[in-house]
Amino acid sequence: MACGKGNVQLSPTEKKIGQSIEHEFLSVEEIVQKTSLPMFKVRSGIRSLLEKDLIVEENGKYKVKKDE
Amino acid sequence: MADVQHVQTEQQVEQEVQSLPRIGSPAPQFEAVTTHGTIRLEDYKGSWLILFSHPADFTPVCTTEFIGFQKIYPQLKEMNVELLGLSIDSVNSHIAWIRNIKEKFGVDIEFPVIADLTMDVAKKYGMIMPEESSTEASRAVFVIDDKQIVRAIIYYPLSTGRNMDEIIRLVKALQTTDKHGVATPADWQEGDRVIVPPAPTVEGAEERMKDDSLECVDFYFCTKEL
Repeated sequence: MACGKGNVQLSPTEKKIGQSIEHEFLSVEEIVQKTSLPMFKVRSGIRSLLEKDLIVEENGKYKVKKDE
Repeated sequence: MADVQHVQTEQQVEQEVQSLPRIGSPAPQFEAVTTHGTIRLEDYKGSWLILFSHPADFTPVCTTEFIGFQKIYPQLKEMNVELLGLSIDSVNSHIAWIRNIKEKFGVDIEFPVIADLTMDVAKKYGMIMPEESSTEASRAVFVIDDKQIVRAIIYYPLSTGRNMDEIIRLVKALQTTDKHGVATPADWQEGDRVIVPPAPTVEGAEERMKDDSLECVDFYFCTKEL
């Protein structure tokens, strides 16, 4: 996950979610489809990635933050 | 007088905390640390959820139940139902127990388990039966639907393991009721005839008796196939 925060520990679920939204904005439903993860895991993982400031949200869709 | 009022308020609060959510009421929201990270009840919106508690990790009856729940988990997922366990143990204890179940019984527990050391969730759901044990959760099962409404509650004592077939039957019956607007009779199984709600008026009752698609013993007791 390219976001300049190499020290942040990510769970396998968070990594999978991060990989799915590395290049495009996706909704929770689209991430579920792309990753085959259960909905509750995607919602929980998205919340955790937002708290770690690794992804951004726009109009209900999520994408990995770009390196600055 | 002020003291009396204060005591009453405390009792009311205590009663509120210990009371069960009612069938038909919104499921109490929570955020909890689990074996799969921090989970909120709202994360399950859109899918059904079986929230169940067990007394303690590394105990024999609970081990048989966890193996039982894991065995029905694939079938539940096909029914859009998720599983979420809970006990008053730490995440480390849960992880160690889950690893032990895999090692000793060859069963991989895939659903998350809440580490409710503060008893926050257990108290919200009335899972503690102080007369039985004040430090362990009883064997409670809450069926919560996709709109986060409590649809069914089952309680078993510490000494008796739950019946997985009955849990599946219960969820199937509830989902059938939602889909077809019918009720299900005693011992109903998928494929059996279902009960049509009684006609609410005299005219409706007359109509009901003439309806060839139904099998009626009397106006209040009509069944049909789905």
